Amino acid sequence: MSAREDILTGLRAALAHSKPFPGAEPAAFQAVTRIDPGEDLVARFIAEVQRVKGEVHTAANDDEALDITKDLLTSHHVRRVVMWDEAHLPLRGVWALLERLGIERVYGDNASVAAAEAGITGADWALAATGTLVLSSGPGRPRMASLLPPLHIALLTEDRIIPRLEDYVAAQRAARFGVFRRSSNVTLITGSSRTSDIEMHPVFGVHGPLALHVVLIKNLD
Amino acid sequence: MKAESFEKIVDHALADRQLQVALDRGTTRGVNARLLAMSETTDAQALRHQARLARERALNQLPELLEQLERNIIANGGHVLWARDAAELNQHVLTICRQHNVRRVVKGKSMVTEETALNHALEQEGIDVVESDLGEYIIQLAGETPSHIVFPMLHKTKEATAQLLHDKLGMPLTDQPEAMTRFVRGVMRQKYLQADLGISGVNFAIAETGTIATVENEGNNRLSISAPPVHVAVMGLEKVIATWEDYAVLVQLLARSATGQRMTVYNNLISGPRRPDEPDGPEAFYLIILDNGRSRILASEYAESLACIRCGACLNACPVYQNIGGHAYGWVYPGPIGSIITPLLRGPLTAPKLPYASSLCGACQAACPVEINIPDMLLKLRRDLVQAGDPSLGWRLGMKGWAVAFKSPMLYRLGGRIAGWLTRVLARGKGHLRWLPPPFNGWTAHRDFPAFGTPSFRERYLRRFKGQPHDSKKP
Amino acid sequence: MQLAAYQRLPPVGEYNLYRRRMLPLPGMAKRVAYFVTCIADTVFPEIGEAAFEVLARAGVTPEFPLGQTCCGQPAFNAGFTDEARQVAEHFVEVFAGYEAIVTPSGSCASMVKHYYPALFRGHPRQADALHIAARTYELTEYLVDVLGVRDLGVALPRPTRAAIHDACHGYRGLGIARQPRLLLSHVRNLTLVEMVGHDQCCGFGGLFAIKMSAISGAMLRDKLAAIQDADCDLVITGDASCMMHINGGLSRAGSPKRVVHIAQVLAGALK
Ligand code: SF4
Repeated sequence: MSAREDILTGLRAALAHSKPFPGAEPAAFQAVTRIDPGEDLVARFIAEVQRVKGEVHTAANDDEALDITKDLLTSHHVRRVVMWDEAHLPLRGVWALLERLGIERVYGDNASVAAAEAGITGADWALAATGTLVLSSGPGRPRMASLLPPLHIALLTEDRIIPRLEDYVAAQRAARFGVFRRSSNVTLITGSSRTSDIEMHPVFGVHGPLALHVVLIKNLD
Repeated sequence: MKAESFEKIVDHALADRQLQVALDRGTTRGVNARLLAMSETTDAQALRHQARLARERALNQLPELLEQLERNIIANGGHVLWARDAAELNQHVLTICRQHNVRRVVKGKSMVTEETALNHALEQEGIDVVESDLGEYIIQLAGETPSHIVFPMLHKTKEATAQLLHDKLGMPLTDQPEAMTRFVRGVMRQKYLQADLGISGVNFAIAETGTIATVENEGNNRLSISAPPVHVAVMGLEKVIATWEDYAVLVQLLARSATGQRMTVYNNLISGPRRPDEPDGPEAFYLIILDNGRSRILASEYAESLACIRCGACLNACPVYQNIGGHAYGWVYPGPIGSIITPLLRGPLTAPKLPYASSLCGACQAACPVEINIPDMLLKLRRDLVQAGDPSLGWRLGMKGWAVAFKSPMLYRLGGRIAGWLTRVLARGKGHLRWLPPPFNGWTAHRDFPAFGTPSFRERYLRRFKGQPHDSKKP
Repeated sequence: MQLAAYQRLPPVGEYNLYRRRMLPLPGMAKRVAYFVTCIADTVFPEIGEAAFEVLARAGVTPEFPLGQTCCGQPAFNAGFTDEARQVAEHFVEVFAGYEAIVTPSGSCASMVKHYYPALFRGHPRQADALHIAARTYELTEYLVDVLGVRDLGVALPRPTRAAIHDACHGYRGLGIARQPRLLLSHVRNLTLVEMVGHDQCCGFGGLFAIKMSAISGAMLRDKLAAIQDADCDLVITGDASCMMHINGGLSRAGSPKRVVHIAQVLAGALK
């Protein structure tokens, strides 16, 4: 018998006479993280990102957002960038900005991407309660942009902010989980990379980006 | 277990100053972080129960969920392999390595591969394996094994870590964890980019979409599974869960219980290999599902132990672990949950001391995000050991004698009187004894023993109510 | 040492799987049995007496079934289930038919409540065992939750600062934390202080202290250090076995501090 058959047969035999946990019925789901009634989700998101050592820069409009992005790139002396295609960013003009600044846009294999000093991405959603960004991979949306470079700049509009992970899951269920068929990788990012391996002492900036900057753009009413 | 006796290993651990400092700093931080994070939820008690039910539902329908998981992964372009035991899992990985001409492997954290000693199997075939988790990497450099499920190098102080990095890799000495971390980042970068294959563990496998979820903070796992052209994920078969709603509660309680975070920095959700239109990610994805004794546990009265989500909270909370550290447990899984799954996975007589290495204080159960009743299972394992004839003849006779005496009020009173008299004589008026004969010398090794009071409560009671005892039942 | 707010409040119930609602049963006051426990009978009869006294003060004079011995926990915890059952059978024989069984030990109470049902599954006396398991109370739990006692009108002889050591089986097994604090808050001359690690095991664990002497000794040292650091003259606990263990350590270390059983405080028995 194949290992598969063996194992499944063994499991079926184990469960044949009685379930180990009778009465484990689906419970009413309660969300994990507290959000106060009437709480301002944008303010909460900003506070949570800051808590996990990320930075949020608020922009009243696209021009301001481009200025902030420009400042981030120049202050970090960025020469090369790996980025999502502009069609997937909530902000027009990033590519033109890079050209103006003489910053090279790198593509292709890991070795060339690894030379980039910054990654620029959008985000599908942002979770207010935990300060989390949800990014899905796809055409024009390389995973590496939020992973390899030391600086990660995420561009986000306020209308992408939803309360919690539970709300994200509910939305995906309503959409029949299409994202998990289309995207080989969905990543929930909460802050910049960190470790507590040395005496459980938190250190920020390990293998992933050392710094996370969110440029949060106001929506036009 | 190793050849050295459990007692010896414990004695070494207790006498190891460096270890004691590291354990104290680490577990205190861990416990406080968890308590704070759990107190900030909507309702810790209700959520733990919700998480528990999610695990129970999954275990109740394991075969169906595993099949569903497999179907969905294949539909997404991935491969699923099954392994009855450790050797079979390692063999699968070696075969994949051969197919893809793999020479260099980079690994994210995985307890299952510790269980199967995969690194060793790969190295024997001449394949270069690098652990990418900071802690695991340092442990690998030191030639040691992890001592904690979540914090593999909890047994090391920062001073010892710096010395190791200095000796092995020439890092300038420092006592700053920040500097050490930055140094290792630099070393690891190239390894990711050169690796031919990445291996990761699995924290949850969501059956309804065929997605595997890993949680991590460093980004090493994400790199290991995104940068190399092939990704192999390995999981114990109990890791599968039914729905995304279950994932949402479990992953958050895992983060809060393990590190006190609301979410870990990266939650990677992998549904098969890179799609044809995606710019990056591995071209091949394999999931290996390991049994290695788990289906046997499911059939036993220890099925509850399969609900574990490996958060490590019970380790931090355990006063025994706090004192002896993880290595004393002798195998991959330390701490309270290790004392249960080690004998279950490897056979009760391979680790006969572990079920006894607990005062049954219940701190583990109170800490567990999925309400696993660890003390109860430790008691059952002790019962199994007794039934297997493990305790010495002396203990067995002693217990028989105890039962005979304590089920007879007369013998009980007589024994009490003799013991009382003996203790008072030996105490020589000081109220306590500094020495007791074997086997009770274990007591007096660390504390005094009181001389029994006299007269007994029973006598006092009879005196007080002489002639009108309230008792309706004569002895 | 300052404790953070979340550390200070004992997370009773919040973390307690065993927690069960305990309601006074109809006709409860009729026949109450006192289970003194083997240790408070023979080693610390003054505790046995004090607890009896406290019940009397609260208006309940319990019966003391003279045939009683032990709940069977020592053997049960060592894995000797058959031996434990033999002693438990005797316990059931002695205590069957009472409306309440009160004992000055969270550990013995939790043994009866949590493990008798399984120990007697399929046993001819299963019904009695279940009845007993449902009606066994730790002393302070009985006083506060069943009798509604708050103030026993006692005072300590001089102003005293005391910390509570929450014994494991009462605290985590039965969720007892509020009750002793409530009762002690009404004792005159007594100021309660919280101790770091008030809910941390002292390392007793029955035969654990003998079989795993080194580990148990290390846990005891941690506890002694916490007591040393605590701003208190006295430590109060609800289990005589933990008291014996910690006092054995304090006396070995030559410390002037001592642990007393809560019944001794509530009976006004401290000199
Ligand atoms: S037994 Fe519970 S507390 Fe321990 S590692 Fe598993 S899930 Fe965490």
